[in-house]
Amino acid sequence: MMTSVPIRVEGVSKTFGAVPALADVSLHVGAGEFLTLIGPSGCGKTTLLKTVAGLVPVDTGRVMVGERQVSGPGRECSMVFQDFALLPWATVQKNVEFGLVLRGVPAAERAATARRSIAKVGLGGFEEAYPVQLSGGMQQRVGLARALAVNPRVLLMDEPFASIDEQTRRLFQDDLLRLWSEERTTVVFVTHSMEEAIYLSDRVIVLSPRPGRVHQVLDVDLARPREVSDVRASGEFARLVDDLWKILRKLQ
Amino acid sequence: MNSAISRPESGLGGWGLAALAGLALFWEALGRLDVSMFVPPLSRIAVAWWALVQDGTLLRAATSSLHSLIRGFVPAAVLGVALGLAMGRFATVRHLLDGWVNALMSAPLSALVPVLIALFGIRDTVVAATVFVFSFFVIVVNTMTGVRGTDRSLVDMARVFGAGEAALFGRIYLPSALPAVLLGLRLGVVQAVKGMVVGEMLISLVGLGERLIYYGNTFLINELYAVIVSVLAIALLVSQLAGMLDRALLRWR
Repeated sequence: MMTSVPIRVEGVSKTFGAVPALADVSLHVGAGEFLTLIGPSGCGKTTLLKTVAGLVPVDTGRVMVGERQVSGPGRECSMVFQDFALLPWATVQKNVEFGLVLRGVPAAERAATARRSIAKVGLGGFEEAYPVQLSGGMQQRVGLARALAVNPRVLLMDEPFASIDEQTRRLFQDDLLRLWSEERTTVVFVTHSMEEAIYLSDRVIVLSPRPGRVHQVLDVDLARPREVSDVRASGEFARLVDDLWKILRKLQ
Repeated sequence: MNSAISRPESGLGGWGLAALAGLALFWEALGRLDVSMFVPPLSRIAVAWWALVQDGTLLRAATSSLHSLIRGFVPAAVLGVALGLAMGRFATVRHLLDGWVNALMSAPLSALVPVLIALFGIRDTVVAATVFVFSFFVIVVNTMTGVRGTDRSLVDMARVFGAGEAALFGRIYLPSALPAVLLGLRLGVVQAVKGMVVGEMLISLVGLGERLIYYGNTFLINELYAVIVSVLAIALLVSQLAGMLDRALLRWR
C-alpha cells in the first residue's frame, strides 16, 4: 500500500520557441485520483504531463506534487511512455531494476523488488527475455512494472496503450485498474481514446489546442470496480463517451 | 525465448568460400594459359609464398606491419571514441570540430603522409601515424552519429527515474551508441590496414608495404602476389576479429 499525493498545477504557461504549448493551465488532481487528459493533437497534453514529471520546465506558474514544487524530476513520480522506452540491450529484469539502480537500491533488494513487480504485471517467467523478443503489449507491461517498482506516489502515463492492439489493450486496461485499486497511487493518464478515458478515469479533463488550455472537466461517476462488471455495455458508459465526443467535436 | 533474430552476416559464409574457390580455379586456369607475366598461376604464387614464409621474410615484414598497425590503431580507437562521444553529447564541441572531421574523413589522406614523414622522419613511426589518420576519423564520425541517434524517450525515461549527467552518459548514451561505435571500429580497422600499407609503401623502409614496392620494382611477380595475398589475409582477419567483438557485445540484437 502506498501513500499517494495530490498534484496542483497553477497558472502554468509554456512556449517552445514561438509556439505556445500551454496557456495558463490550472488543475488539481486529488491524492489517489485517476485523472485523464484528452484533447486534439497540439493541445499540449503530453507537455503538461512532462511539466508534472519535471522534464519540461514551466515558463510561468508552478506545479506542486504533494508539498514539493517541481523544478526537475523527483522521487514521487514515475512514468510510462507511449513507445515503452525500454533499454533494448537489457533483459526484462534489468529494465525493471533500472529506476531502482538510479535510486541507489542495493542489488539484492532491487532484484527481489523487480521480480515482484514483474509478477504483478503478469510477466513472471520472462525475466531473462530481451524487449525485442516480446510483443508490444508485453513490452508495455515491462514499462509499467518498471514504473511501479520504484513505489511511486504519482504515476504518469503518456498514451501508454496507443500502439497496442485493441484486444490486448482491453486486457491491459483491466489489469491497470486492478493494480491501481491495490496501489492507490495518483494517476495522470494521457490518451486519444474517448472510451479509454471514460473507462479508466475518475475525471476527464478536455484540453483545447494551440495553446493548450483546460476546456472542460467531465466527472465519470461509473461505479468501481469497473474491471469486474460489464461497464462498457452499460447505457451510462455510452452516454459519457457521447458527452465527451460532443465536447471534442466542437474543438476540432 | 529462443526466437531467431536475423543479423547481418559479417563473415565469410559457405557461399563466400565457394566464390573464393571458384575465383582461385579461374585464376589458376588463366595463369596456365600464359596470357601475361602479370597473371602467374596461383600454384606458383603459393610456392613463392611458402618460400617467403620459410626464409622468414614474410614473418619479419608482417610482424613489423602488425606492430605499426597496433601502434596506430589503438590510439585512434581510444581517442576516436572519446572525441566522438564528446562531439555527440556536447553541441559546442560538435560545432567546433564537425567541419574539420568531415573534411578529413573524406580527404585523400595519403596526401598527408609526406607531412608525417616531415614530422617524424623516415621511420616506422610514420606508418603508425598513417594508420592513425586513416582510421581515426571514421571512428569519430560513427561514434558521434551513434550518440546523436540516442532515443529521446530513453533519455526522458532515465531522467524521470533520477539520472544525472554521468548516469545518462554511462547508462543511456554509451550503450545506445555501442552498435555505431563498433561499426566505426570495424570500418576503422579496415582503414587502418590500408593506412599501414600506404604508409609502408611511401616510406619504403619496413613491413609488407616495403616488400610490395621491392617485388614490384624488381618484377618478382610471384613474390609480389604472395605479399598481396598476405595483406588481404590480414585485412580479412582483422575485420573478422572486429565482427566477432561486434557479435559478442551486441547479443541483445
